[in-house]
Amino acid sequence: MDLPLFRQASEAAILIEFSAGTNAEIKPELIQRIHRLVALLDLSPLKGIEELTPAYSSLLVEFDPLQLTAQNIEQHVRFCLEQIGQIELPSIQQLEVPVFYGGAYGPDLPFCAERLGMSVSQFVESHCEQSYSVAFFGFLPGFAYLFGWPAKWSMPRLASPRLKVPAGSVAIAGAQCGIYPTESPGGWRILGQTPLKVIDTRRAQFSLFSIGSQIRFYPSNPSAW
Amino acid sequence: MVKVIDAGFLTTIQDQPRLGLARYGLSEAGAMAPLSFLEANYLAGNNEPLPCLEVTMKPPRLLFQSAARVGLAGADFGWKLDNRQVPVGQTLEIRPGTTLQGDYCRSGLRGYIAFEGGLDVERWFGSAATHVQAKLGGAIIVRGDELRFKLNRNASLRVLREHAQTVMMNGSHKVLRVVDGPHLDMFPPESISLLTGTVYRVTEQSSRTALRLDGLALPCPKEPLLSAGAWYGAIQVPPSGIPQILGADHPATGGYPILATLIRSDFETLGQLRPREEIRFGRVSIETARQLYQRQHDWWKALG
Repeated sequence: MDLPLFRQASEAAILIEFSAGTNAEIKPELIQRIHRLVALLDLSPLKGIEELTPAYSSLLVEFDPLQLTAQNIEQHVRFCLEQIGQIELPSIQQLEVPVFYGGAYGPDLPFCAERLGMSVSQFVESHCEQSYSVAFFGFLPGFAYLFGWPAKWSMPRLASPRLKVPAGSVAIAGAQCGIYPTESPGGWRILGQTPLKVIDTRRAQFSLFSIGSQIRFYPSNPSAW
Repeated sequence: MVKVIDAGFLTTIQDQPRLGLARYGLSEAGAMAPLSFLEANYLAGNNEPLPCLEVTMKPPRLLFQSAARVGLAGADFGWKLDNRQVPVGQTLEIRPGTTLQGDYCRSGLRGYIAFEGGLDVERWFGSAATHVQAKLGGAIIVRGDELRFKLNRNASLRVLREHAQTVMMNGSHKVLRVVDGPHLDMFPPESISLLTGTVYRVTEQSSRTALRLDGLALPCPKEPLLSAGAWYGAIQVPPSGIPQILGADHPATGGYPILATLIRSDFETLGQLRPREEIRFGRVSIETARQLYQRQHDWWKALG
């Protein structure tokens, strides 16, 4: 693969772009490469790195300018990229996520099923058949962008966002899936709701998921919880 | 212990930034006026920065139910102890039964009330900072809250002849210095010179999330970018062309192109800007930005 573009963002940040930033296509190999780089940087950290923020096609590295320069980061990242294929990384977390599909929990489920010419139960089955990966977090703390839903089944966003989407809502927009960690406004199509707490400040790990986590959904109902 | 009689406009617990959760979508939070935060802690007698109160625009009214040593720094709130004006720039010995209060800020926007020993609050992922936007970590102070601290009278009383703001902030006070941003080459070449050649006005919509401005719309890229990591100080230009400066509670990722970045040593200036204030941007090199940041670091080390 080509070397990324290193864009100095400030005296304390460098934005590493792995492909042109204007192409909205989700590329799983690219996301995996970025996740492997994050894992490598975690395994061999440079003293002074403060934050690593991955996204679909980029990695932001923030650092203490009294200890490091952008050139130090670039050198180290190049070194890591050379070894990226050779190093065994920690195993990937697999999670099964229960969802209460439809009804008041998933007001957009009928719309989504109809759009694909499916019955509601066929649609739910399709949603549960796919395996999803966490690409990155954004929009809200703990909001995981999931990929794995077929692009041919892309869903339009709502024309005007809802003012309140409940915490735990499982939603879809374009070919992306996501779970709202907290109540918030939102324009994604809501399929259902999970009773799992995706973020919890009392847990040792803030977010239930990490980048790269693999997720499968399964239908459940509130009486089971 | 301190009892909160009135919470003021927005009073939060702040601390050093909370690092390491950006990859989960949570930005660093922490003091929006970092030099004043350090100064208040120094005056309180703390040799390292400890959790304290960040005060915005209108200060809280606090009843001290036990003795305390307190440091006040930042915006001028005309602080009073039991209706007596208090001297700023020195450790305050506060007796039980005393009330600390102030008025709307006369200059600047944010101040800090630091306690010797620090507020007795839990640190979460290394920091007690409140992320106001996400309502995570720390706390937003409300009337009736009881705040505890661990007074130990370890340090001697302290005095500062010069304030961080006057020492460290650039003379004309309203100039925000920037370095080139990562997407500079996606903008028409005149965008950066228009940014630095124009006066912008701070709007009421500004918060810890972002400083919002009014003024000239800059020519900017038409194509939206794929979302990428965002950072404190990033100057993003949405399709409206009006730049915004991200604050400590910024979204962790964003899709607007970043034309420039505010240098770290001007975060204090950023945090003290008031609605309707006029500002200018000045362009400096990365090396200058590093040296200025080093100077601030040396100032803090020399205090300790």
